[in-house]
Amino acid sequence: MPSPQATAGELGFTTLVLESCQFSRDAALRAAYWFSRDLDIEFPPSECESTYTVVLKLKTVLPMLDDPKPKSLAELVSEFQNALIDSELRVRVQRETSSVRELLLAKAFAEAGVLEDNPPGSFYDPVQAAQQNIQSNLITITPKE
Amino acid sequence: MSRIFLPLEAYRPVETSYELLPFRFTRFTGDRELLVNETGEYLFAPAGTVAKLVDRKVVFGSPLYSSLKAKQFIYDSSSSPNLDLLATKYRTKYAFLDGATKLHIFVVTLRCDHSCHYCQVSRQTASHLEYDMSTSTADRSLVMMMDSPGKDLTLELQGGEAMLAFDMVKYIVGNAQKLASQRQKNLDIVLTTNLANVTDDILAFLKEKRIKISTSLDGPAFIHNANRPRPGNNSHELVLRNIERCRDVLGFGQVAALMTTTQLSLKHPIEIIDEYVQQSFHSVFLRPISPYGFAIRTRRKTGYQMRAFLDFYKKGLAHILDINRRGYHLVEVYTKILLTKILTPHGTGFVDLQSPAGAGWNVLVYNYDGDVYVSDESRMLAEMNDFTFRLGNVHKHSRRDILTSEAFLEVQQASCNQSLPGCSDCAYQTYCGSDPIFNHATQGDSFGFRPTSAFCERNMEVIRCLFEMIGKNDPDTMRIFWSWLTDRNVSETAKEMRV
Repeated sequence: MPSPQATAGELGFTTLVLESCQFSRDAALRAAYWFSRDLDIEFPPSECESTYTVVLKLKTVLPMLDDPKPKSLAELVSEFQNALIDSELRVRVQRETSSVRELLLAKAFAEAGVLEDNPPGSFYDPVQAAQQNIQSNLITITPKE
Repeated sequence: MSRIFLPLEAYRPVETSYELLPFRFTRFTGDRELLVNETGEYLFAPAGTVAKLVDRKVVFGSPLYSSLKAKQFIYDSSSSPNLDLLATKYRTKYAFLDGATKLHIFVVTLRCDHSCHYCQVSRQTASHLEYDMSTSTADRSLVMMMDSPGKDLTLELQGGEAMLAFDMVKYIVGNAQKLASQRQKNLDIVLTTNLANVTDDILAFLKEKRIKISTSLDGPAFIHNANRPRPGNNSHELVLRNIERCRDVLGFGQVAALMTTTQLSLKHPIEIIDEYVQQSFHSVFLRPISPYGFAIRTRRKTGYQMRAFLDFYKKGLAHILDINRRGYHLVEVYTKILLTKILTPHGTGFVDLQSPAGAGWNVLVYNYDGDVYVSDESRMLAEMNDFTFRLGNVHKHSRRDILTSEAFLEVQQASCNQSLPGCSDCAYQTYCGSDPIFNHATQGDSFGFRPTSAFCERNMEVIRCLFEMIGKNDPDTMRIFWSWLTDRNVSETAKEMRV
């Protein structure tokens, strides 16, 4: 997955232009959450659907007692770009596995009787069920007398 | 007798695409990624594995493919998601939810003869009898406790200093045991005490009723006495002498001790741990200070940054491992709790590191005046005039009222790390927990803000540090960890691992 393109601004900020097909807004928001301690992060309104921008501004550069060597904007931007890639992967894994996860939790807690509605999809494990129905392929081996 | 098998070709691996099962991941040191599935099983893999996994580029039949399949990160047409197995593992991990409230803390009195800087309790001097629990409050609290659905209950009697109101302790214990027997519950009783006021009569009663002791030992005299001042400045001397008396009368294993880390303690992890060894304890709990009660007011004396505590913890853990290597069984309690979650299929009953939070669901606190709180920490907030987590009062409300109160529901809502921002994506989620009361006290919001949360900083770093050690797979260290998890000496575990 390629890294997003960064443009350094003049006044201590950086603008990232992201392609929606590569990095969903959901992924960008999740990455932004972890950086909101050190950065002010803006998502300006986007003019087209295929791209959007993220503006990263450093909150403070002054050393404090609990943070004597604060990170520079360049360091934080580089970390943000990596975090963005990870976030996008997490979004994809979650998108792909959310129904299995719901089914898993439903099965795990079914005996508590707390389910109001049946979860979406089949409650049965389709592969296991299929494997139980392949009796016709079985062959018989009889040991020699 | 004949046996039936599938034809030979059925056992040959057939190249096929795979499907993902739910998991989370994080980048890890040494150019690796750590993948953790929904039930806490983990896998170290080379950097870039998750991207390959998502793009279906993991090579079929490779060792990595097999590991991913075996640990239920993926399944393919020759396997199955085996959801029943995963669901069983999941249910095992969350078994602590079963039975609801198991720990019931009774604040027998607010009176105390110590004036600890960090005390979580808004203590009162020993003459203020109006801060003792009344018999009617005790009766109502016991009824509410016994209404809990669980069969195994723990009654913890604390203060202030509970021994200053020992008649009330006797009253509660007598009635609790009677009620437990009527309702066919198993009852464990723990008395939390500084042990300064123990007498032979008290010891005889504790022995008769099989009550366990939980006391405080902050380290050697110069730390303990500085942290826990009392008239005569002899808290350390008293606690050591009375630990021995309790062990003699009640039995060695009936006495446990806890320490609290103050600014002074931070500089002395080795001395504190050595004191525990010298007093023949086999466990020590390196606990940070809680940001409640007097700890807030005396922040200058007791407070510190979480980073400093983590240094203290790491130095302490290294020393504890060294002590184990030399043959003395000494467990660091918090590490053991996390290792249980990481290395075994089980969760733990430790209420401060659960999701949903143990506060309220697994523990209730009955104050001397009948007010009920989700945890001791939330009671401390009330002593600071913040009643956010007061659930009701035993004289006015039923257990049903308490567990459907707005305060209770808010705690539950804010305490599922599976759905909290920052936590829902975190690789360590299964091993971690949430603490809405801590979030509220330190950040003014029950849901909390992970990037600046000391709870998050502590747990992420401690778990990372443990995975670092697990990843190194040093046989000595792993033997010690397994000896902790199986409650056996290192030498026994070593023999077993060699076999």
